[in-house]
This record gives sequence, structure tokens and C-alpha cells, in this order.
Amino acid sequence: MRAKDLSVGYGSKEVLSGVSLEVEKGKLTLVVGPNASGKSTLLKTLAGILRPLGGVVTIDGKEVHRMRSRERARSIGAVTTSRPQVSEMTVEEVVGMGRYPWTGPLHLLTAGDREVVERAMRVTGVLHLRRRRISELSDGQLQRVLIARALAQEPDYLILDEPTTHLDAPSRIEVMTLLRDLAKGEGVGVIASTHELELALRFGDKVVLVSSGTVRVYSRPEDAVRDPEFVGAFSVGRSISLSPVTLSVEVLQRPRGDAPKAFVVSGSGTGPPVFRALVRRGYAVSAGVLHENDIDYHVAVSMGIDVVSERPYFPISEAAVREALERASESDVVVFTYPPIGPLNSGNLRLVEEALAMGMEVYGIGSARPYEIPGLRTVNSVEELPYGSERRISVAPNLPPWPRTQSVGSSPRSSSSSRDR
Amino acid sequence: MRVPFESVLGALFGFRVEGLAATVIDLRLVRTVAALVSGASLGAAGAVLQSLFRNPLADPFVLGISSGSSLAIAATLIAGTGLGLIGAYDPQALYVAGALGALAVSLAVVALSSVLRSNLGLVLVGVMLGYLASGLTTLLVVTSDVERVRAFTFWTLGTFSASKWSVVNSVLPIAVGSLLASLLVAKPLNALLFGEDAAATTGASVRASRVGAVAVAASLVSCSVVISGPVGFVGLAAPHAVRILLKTEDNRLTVPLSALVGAELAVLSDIAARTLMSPLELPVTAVTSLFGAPIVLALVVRRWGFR
Repeated sequence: MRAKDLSVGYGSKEVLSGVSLEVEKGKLTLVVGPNASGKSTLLKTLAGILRPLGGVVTIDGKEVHRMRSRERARSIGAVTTSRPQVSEMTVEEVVGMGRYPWTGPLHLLTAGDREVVERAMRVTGVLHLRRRRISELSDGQLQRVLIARALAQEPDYLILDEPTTHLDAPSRIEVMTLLRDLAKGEGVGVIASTHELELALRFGDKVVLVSSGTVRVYSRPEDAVRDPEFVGAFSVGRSISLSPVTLSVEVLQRPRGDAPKAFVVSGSGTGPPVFRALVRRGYAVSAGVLHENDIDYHVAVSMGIDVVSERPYFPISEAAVREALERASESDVVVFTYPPIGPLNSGNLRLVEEALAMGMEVYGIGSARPYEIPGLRTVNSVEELPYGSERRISVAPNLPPWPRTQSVGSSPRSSSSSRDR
Repeated sequence: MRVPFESVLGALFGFRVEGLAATVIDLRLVRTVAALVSGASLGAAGAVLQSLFRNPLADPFVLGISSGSSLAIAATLIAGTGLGLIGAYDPQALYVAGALGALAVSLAVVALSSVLRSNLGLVLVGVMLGYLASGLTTLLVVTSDVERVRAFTFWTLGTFSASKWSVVNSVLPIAVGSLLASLLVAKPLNALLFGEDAAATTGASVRASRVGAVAVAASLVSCSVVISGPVGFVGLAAPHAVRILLKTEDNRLTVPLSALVGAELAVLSDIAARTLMSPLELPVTAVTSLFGAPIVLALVVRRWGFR
């Protein structure tokens, strides 16, 4: 299915223009973009529901909008966002409705039709629900039934508008997995829109960004992540980042001007939980010394954390340690996460010892401590750290130390407002 | 009047029954057939309308379609006989007029339904359109000659008491045709249950389906009105009874079965109208209102509840 130089919209109102994309059989194409960017309009036009304002959609050279509705329904199946009003119908009846373009005027199903219906129910995993009424289904089950119904049309292409919206987390993954399986197993060309950026990046063979009046097509999710336009479409004033390595969305830290500073010494995955907890508490976080191939380095960079780094597989240099010490001395608190220590990163141990010797406030964090560092104060969680230095808290000398009951998820805003008291 | 049972059996199985009894049987038989045809038409039309508007309160009478049909028939009768265009009583011409009247109101309701967001709002509009039409009908009745008025007073009221073989016989084939046509709109109506966009993607032509459904409903309503005038609530109650009994929304079942139940309801209502206050005879709409209006109230309370 190809769209060439398509413009879509309602009436005279053009929503998107210059759209050229290909939906390939056997591939899952996921369409992402901000709300009201025109995702639905695009999909409705591809499905033949809306006429294009310009350009054409073709399947094997045949123009979709010139096909008779029966013929079109035999090559394109769709799942729309409207809730069907068939609560008393059984699953099997609803899936049977998918035979519409193949049956006569009374919609009597032949043995062949029934076989197709059964197969559609089987591949979507709703065969065991066949006698259930629609009103008895969960949202996730209903979505799979509607997909089965579209599949019963025996289409070459499947178009779905927001199939994961309103579903709980496990159902979202289930539906995405199903779509991928339909593409791979049944050879259907699947195109679906979604709000789930991370799911789109992980499940999509192809990613389409719909934003500011046009589309961008990325033949690999990794290409999308590298495109600043793509990231920009999802963040207000650069509030998130996307890691091309892990394909994960991170919220960039945006500390207030007077935020207390924390310097984290970590490695091998011990850092990220602490980075996130510190950012949630309102700290301005920096970190080091991290090797550039350390997972902590990737997460820190995608969170917008300043990192003192070292080249991969090189021992931490003296210069790096000195730079990190300088950064640490500018911070209100230094946090050590007990990373595994080997020949390449033993510089970090020296860093902590020197920081202690210089009289910095250094805290070891974590309940499992594989080794001891003499003179290191230990806490169980970020919540037990003083918020900023004693100097900052001394503005209100009678304030008790941070209560242990403070929840992990407390927002920086609420913590800082209580600090301002 | 009491007719001996043997005479009834005799008449039904083709033996000649002499005298007054024969007349009475003939009168009652035509009444029963009229109620069957009218009730079946209303039942099927109600099922089609409820599915089309996706509104459990839709019904030819509630949506004002019957009254619109009645108005068109009254106007045609007065104008036609006045100008000498049609005979005093040409059922087929009246059917055409009634169908056009029903179609006009149906299209008005369709147009308004795309503006109105709420089901109750649509019903209110329908009821008002109905009042408007019956107001105009009354106006016509009051301002025309007494003799012509008598011919159609019953169309403003709805009753089977004035049924004639000449009318029933000429409307019957049209009613049967319309009922068969209603079977054909069941499939696209089923597709529309999934929403217009979804229906379009399963291969239904949305506009053609809606136009077809409206046309079939209008034709059915007109058949019923020509025979019996606007009879209320049969078209509302029959589809609900079917849905409760069968627990299905498949229009391929609800439409024909609503016709059956509608025919049944109409005959029973007519018997009740004749016998409840005997020898006084009630208009059949009075009886259907007695069971129909509570159904509407119950539906409204159940669906929209007290707040």
C-alpha cells in the first residue's frame, strides 16, 4: 500500500500534506505523534473512509478510493476507535460480521466463512471466548475481538487507530505483540497509531511521525530516535530525551536555580535508580567518573546529567579523577553507590577516599554493601540524605531532619516548598 | 355481537354462513387482517428505526413519522377529492402520499440527529414534529367540509374499526414487499452498529444503507397508516420484546421477529380495545399507549436514571 503526495483533512481544512509512505506486507508500521496532529485523519484516509484532498493511495497500483466498498473491504481491514453497540452479541457473531464483504444480502455464513471466522478468532486468541457476549469482555479482550473481526475480512492490510488506548499495561503489550505476530505470521501489512512512544519504538518495524502538518517516515526506530525533530515533537522545551541505545524515554532533569547539587560516583547499573531518586527530590545531579560504555553513562546522558567520563576499557585517568574531585567539591553532597570495582575503575575508589580526606559530605547508599570504605557515612535511601547541606537547612534551625516516611515519589516542588517554610 | 363458534369455524374453513353472522365474521376478519398487516409493518419499522438511530426510544409514532404520514394522507385526500384527482378512497395513492409524508419527517429526524447529541433530545424533537403534524392535520379537518372529514378522522386517531377489504387488499402486497425489503437492510444495519467508519471499512456503503433503511421504514409506516392511522408504541414495544426474549441485536433476527410480535401486539390490542369497555369501543391507540408509555418511561429511567 502506497500513499503518494497525499494531503488529508476534513472538507476544505487540510491537516497533513505531502504525505508519502509505504505500508509493507509482513511489517508493523507504527504511527506516533502528538494529540490532534492528524494521526487518525491519516489512517482514515488510508483506510478509504475519508477521501484524500490530494494525492492517491494505491494497493498494487489500484486506487483505494476508486474501489467499490466491498472490494476495498476485501483488501483493507480496520479497527476504529468507536465502541460498537453490540453488547448482546456473542464474540463469534461479531467476528462473523467481518465476513460482510464476502456474504450475500442476508449475510448467511457458509462452512468456508465459518472456517475463516474460527481461524481469525484463533490467531487473535479469542477462540475460547466465542460464546461470550461482548458486554462480558474486558477492554483488552474486546480489542482483540475487533481485530479478529477485521481479520475475518481476509485483508492484505490492517489499519488500526489507537488500538492500545484505554487498555491496561499488560493488554497494551498483548495487543502490540498480536499486531507484530499478525504482520510476521500472517503476512499482513499492519499500520497502527499509538500514544505509546516506547512501545512504538520497540515493536515497530517502521515508525511514522505525524507532526506539524506533515509526516516523517523512519525505516528503523533507531533512525527516529536520532532525529532531533522526532524527539522535539514529543517534548515541551526539551523535557525528555530518547536513548538511541536503549530506545527508552527519559525525563531530562530540570533543576531549579537554587537546587542543591549532588555528585554521584557509580557504575555498572548501580547509578540510575539513584540518579532518578535524586532528580525527583530536586537535586541538580552530576556524575563521574563513568566509562562511556557503562550503562550508567547512557542513562545519565539521556537524563541530561553532566558526566565526567573516561574512554571505554581504559583505566580511569588521574586527570579524570581530578576533574571529578573538582566537580564534587562544588556539590553539596557526594553519593557513592558501591559499584563493582576492578582494575579499570579503581580510580573511583581513590576519588571517594580523597573526597573524604578533603572533608566533603560523602554518603554511601544502598542496603547491600559488598565492601566497606572507612569513614564513609551510609544511608539506605536518597530520602535519608540531608536536602542540600546543613548550611542551607540552617535557615530554619528547628526543622527536624527529613522524615523517613517521606515517599520516594514526592515531587521536587512539594519538597522544596516545605523547605522554604 | 356474539357469533356462534360453529359459524366462525364454518366461515374460516370455507362453508357458507348465512345472514348477519356472515357479515359480522367478514367485518371481524378484515379487522384482524388489518391489525396483522399494520402491526407487522410497525414492528419491523420500529426495529429498523431503533437500530438506525441507535436509540432504544425510536418508534414511528414517537419520532412523529406516523403523524407526518397521516398529515400527508389527509392533505392528499382533501386536495385530491377537492380537485377530483383521485377517487374518494384510492388506497395506493394514499400509500404514496403517506410514504412521502413519512419520508419527509424521517429525513428531518435524520438531519436533526446529526446535530443533536442526545437520544432524549432526538425523541423530544420527534414528539414535537408529531404534534406539529397532528396539529396541522386537525387544522385541515376543522377547515374542510364535514363530509370529507368523516373519511379520515380515524387517521388522526388510529383504529382498526374502519378497516375495509378494499384498503387491506391493495396495501397488502406493498406491505409484504416492504417487509421483504426490511430483511435486506438488516445486514447493513448490523454493520452500522459498529459505527459509521467501521461499517464503511467492512464493505457497507454507509449512505446507501441509511437511505435504504429510512426508505423501508417510511414505506412500512405508510402501509400501517393507510390501514389504521397512526397507532402508537407497537413499533417501540415489539423490538424490545424480541431483544429481551432472544438477547440479540442481530437485525436479521430482530427485524422479522419484531414484525411478528408487532402483528401479535396489534391484534391483541384491537381485541382489548373492543372488549375492555364493551359495548363501548376504545381507539386502539388508547390501548397501545397504556402499555407503550410505561415502557418508554421504564427505558428512560433505566438508561438515564435519576440524578
